[in-house]
Formats: sequence, C-alpha cells, structure tokens
Amino acid sequence: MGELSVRGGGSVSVETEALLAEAARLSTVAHILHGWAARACGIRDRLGELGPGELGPGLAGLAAGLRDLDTASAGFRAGEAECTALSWSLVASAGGYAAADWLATVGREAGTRLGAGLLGVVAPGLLLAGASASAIIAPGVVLGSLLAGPGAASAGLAALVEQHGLPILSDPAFVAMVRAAGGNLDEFLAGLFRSGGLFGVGAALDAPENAALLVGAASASGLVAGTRGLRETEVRVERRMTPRSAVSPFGPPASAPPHGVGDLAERIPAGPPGEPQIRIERYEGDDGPRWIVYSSGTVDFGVVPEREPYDSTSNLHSVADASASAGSVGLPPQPGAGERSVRAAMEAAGIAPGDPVLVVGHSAGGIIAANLAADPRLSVVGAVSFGGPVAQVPSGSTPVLSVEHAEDLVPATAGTGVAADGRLVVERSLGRLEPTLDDPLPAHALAAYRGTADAVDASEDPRLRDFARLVGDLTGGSPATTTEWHAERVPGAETLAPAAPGPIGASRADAPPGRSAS
Amino acid sequence: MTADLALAALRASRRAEALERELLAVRVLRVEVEQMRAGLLLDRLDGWHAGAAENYAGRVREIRVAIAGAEHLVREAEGALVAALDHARRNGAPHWAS
Repeated sequence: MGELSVRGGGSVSVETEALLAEAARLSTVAHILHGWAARACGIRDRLGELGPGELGPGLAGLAAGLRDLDTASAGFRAGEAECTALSWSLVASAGGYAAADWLATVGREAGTRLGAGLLGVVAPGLLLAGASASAIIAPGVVLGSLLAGPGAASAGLAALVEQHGLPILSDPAFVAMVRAAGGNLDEFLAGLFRSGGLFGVGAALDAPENAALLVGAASASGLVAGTRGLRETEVRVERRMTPRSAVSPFGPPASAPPHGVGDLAERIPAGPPGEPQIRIERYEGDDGPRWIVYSSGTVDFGVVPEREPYDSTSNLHSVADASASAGSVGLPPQPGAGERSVRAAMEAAGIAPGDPVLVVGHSAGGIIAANLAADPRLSVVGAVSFGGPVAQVPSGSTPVLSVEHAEDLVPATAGTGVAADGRLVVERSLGRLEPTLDDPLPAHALAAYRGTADAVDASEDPRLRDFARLVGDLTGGSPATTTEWHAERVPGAETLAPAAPGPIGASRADAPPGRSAS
Repeated sequence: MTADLALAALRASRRAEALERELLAVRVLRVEVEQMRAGLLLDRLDGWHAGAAENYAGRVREIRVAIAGAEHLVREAEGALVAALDHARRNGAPHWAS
C-alpha cells in the first residue's frame, strides 16, 4: 500500500486567456527546441562527413563528441515533444474538452517518452508493459470516443472493459482519466443516460451488476437524468432498537467517543438491506448537545426505486443537487432520498439547526455528508467522506475530509470539482487489485477505507492532526447516547417538487408513521 | 611524394578548418542554450487547483531536466572538439591526413 497524499481543495479556476498564453509560450519553446535539436544534429552530420572512420587513436574522443551531439539532439527533441503535448493539452483545456488534471494523465506517457528520448532508447513496446499499460491506452480509446458522441462512447467503454478486463476500472490512470472527464462532460453523460448507453455497456459485458455499478458511478456525477426509473419518492425513517442502541433497564445506551478517523469509519452502518443505515451519537456539551451523524453507502444499485432509499436514484439526486447542470437536465431541486432520510433522522433525533454536527459517510453517505456541510442552515462543523464523489460540492470553508483511493472510480466521477477551501483530500494507493464480478471495485469497499482511516490516524500531517482535534473537541471525550435509524421509500409517493422543509430542511410535520421526508 | 605530402597537408588543413567551424557552431549553440534555458519555462502557474499545479510543475521540471541534460552533452561535445582541434594542430594533423 502507498503512502498518504494530502492536498487542499483550493481554487480550481484557470482563466482561459492564461491557459492560451501559456500554450503559446510552450509552442514557442517547442519551436526553439526544435531548432536546437536540428542544429546539434547538423553539426554531428557535418563532423561525421569529415571521416570519423579514419580517425586515429589521438582523436578517438571526437567520436564520443559525436555521440554526445546525437544524444543532445534527442534530448532537445524530447523536450520539444513534451512542450508540444503540454501546449496542446492547455489548448484542449481552454476549449473545455479536459480539465487541468488531465495533464497528469497525458503526462505519464509523454514523461516516459521523454526519458526514453534522453537515453536514446526507442522502444515503444516498453511503454506498454506493466500494470498501467492498458490505462495508458485508455485515454485514447475512451476520450476519443467521448468526443465522437454518446453512442461511440458506450461502445468504446464496453470494448475497453472487454479488452482489458475489470482491473481497468481500478487502474489509477483510468481513475484519473475519469476524474478529468467527470468534471467536463455533463451534457454528454446526460445524453448518454437518455440513450440508454450505459445499459448497453452492461448488456455487452453480460454482467448486469457491473452495469448497475457503472450507472451508480455515472449517476453519482450528478449529471444524468430523464428516465422514469430515476424519479424520486418520499421517504420515512424510524428508530430501530439494535443490540448496540437498545435502551437497557439501566438507562440509555452509551458508547465511547471516537478517538480518530479510524473510529469514525468503524461506526458507519454497513448492514444488509433492512438494517439501519443511519447512526446518530449525542454528546452533552456545556453549551448544549453536539452530534455525530453516520450515514451508510449505497445499499441498492438498481436504478428503479424500490423500498431502499440508498440507491442509484438517490445518488443521482444527491450529487445533482450540488451540480450546476441539475436544472438543465430536468432534475427537480431537491436532495436525494438518502440525504432526506438523514435529515429526517436528524430531526427525529432532536438535532436543532444550531447544534454542532459532524457528519460521516461512506460512498453515497460521503456525498450526503458533504452536502450537509454545504448547507448554511445547519451548523455542520466538519464532514468525513470515505470514497464519496464530493469534489463538486461547494462546501466552502467547512472542514471536509475526503478520503479517496487512487484505484477507486467512484470519487473520481465528481471530476476535478469546484473550489472548497475547507476540503482536505487524503489519497492513498492500495496497489494492484484483483477485481471480480462479485467485487468489481474492491478499492471502493468500506473495509478498505477503514484500513486507510487507521493510516490517517497514524499520520503526522498537521492538517490531519487538526482534523482529529476537531473530532475530540466536538465530543469533549464524553460518552455518547446512540440511536440507529432505518429509512425506506414510501411506495407510490413520487416527489415532483420539494415540500415545505422542516428545521433541518427535509421533513413534513404531519408525516406518520415515523418521520417522512419528501 | 612531395605532391602527396602537399595534398595530405591540404586535406589536414581543410579538415582542421572544418573542425574549427563546427566547434564555433557548437559553442554558439551551447552559449545560446545556456543563456536562454533559465527563462524558457515558468516554474508554475497561479490560480490552478493545487494538484494540477503540482502536476504541471512536475512536467515542466522534466522538460528542464531534458534541456539541462542536452546542454551538458553539448558542452561535452564542445570539449571533445576542442581536444580534437588541439590535437590536430599540435601534430600537424597527421591522423586526419593519414
């Protein structure tokens, strides 16, 4: 496993004019390097014509000089190629086809070429060897297809997986490409979903569960809509008495406070369908109650809403709620069912808008946590997302810790996202993975993220230490009163427009049984 | 015999002149690279997402390394040419002429 990489979520905006100016500069540099390479090459050729074969032993060093000029020329040409590629990338970025981060993806190939050029090695086969070989090809296959249109894209993606197998979905280079594409291809994805392209991918793979996962990932980018299957419904929540939360004859259940990010990850509900998806801990502070809310990830990957609110329809709406394109693709301005479930449970648990809250979630729960952190009506003091596509949530200066695996496709679907000064992204590589049909995205599993959460606690990074202190300050080290909540959709109760919000922003006061949120 | 020697001397002289011309060309190239290299590329661009800026800076660093490496090799070649020219002058260019 790799080391943790921590980065802030600062500004992502780059002025188009600045991009084009730098592209022009690089193009000029490429031209200069081309000239230098040609001159070095010319000098070498002319010296060679003097008769290197006739050099006596006293002038043998000149042969080395000729080789130096030859290699120098190759070095200048490699630099020229790199400048040209960078320049082209910038122009493409300015044109809206790719995000700035895509430079990193393109750079891997160009960087390898650069090294090869310097060494005078021309061995394209070497560039395609190793674990990332298929992903190096991927941008050409998929991005080319994306630009060609939705139909070609679905065929391209299907061909990609057929050709390279499921591991392509966990390849960091492919994930980086998805991240680059995710932030810029709103309309494409919308059109793709309408055309049923993603379902076409599933059929081509003869693996519907994988198609469902892909739909989940695509819908998590918040950019697809328009089918009946993705219409939202009302939800209701009810408290469940589980062995961990049942009230005993000796009083309410108490649990020790979490001592770090690892403990937070450990407490995220991950039960099978029918089990509670939400856990709420109440801590008594001097100035009133403080809370930690835990939200599960996606339980049902189906695209047609059944009883489970943590489904792909909810993912779509949760992320789309934060997307600027939501209106343009016809999405009603309301949170997804999962988010409304959490808000309803929060109200039912007694959380008031001014109470300090820390929200923690995995996958879909991560986007819910980030969305709540971005809600100015709430007093969310921090949020933790494990594998959630949170990059496009404008959570501002609220601390949001986003833990992501380099091989996890799901957080990458949010693209490069929007600026959020409080967002802290912790990335870690899990190394080579072996996906299976039962577990096509192993890097997305909560169990894997729990391991990384422990690594976060062990880190000496001051920003991560600050976040751990935030958790400690919230709980005050006191034990918590814990409740667990189960949410479900209300059959036949489609929501076409948001109802009057409650204090937390989702419930209706007259909604028996349990708490209902539309 | 005399004619052969004269021809050999002429060829040696012309090769030495050619060597001198190419040495000048290499020297001009080396100085040009040396002078321009520092200002060719920006270290980083402002206003980028931190990750993108670092990636960009990384790629620019690679180009810098490539150019610096090439400049070093041009300097090495220049040294080899200087040595060759000195050798040719010192020995009346017998190896070129032989």
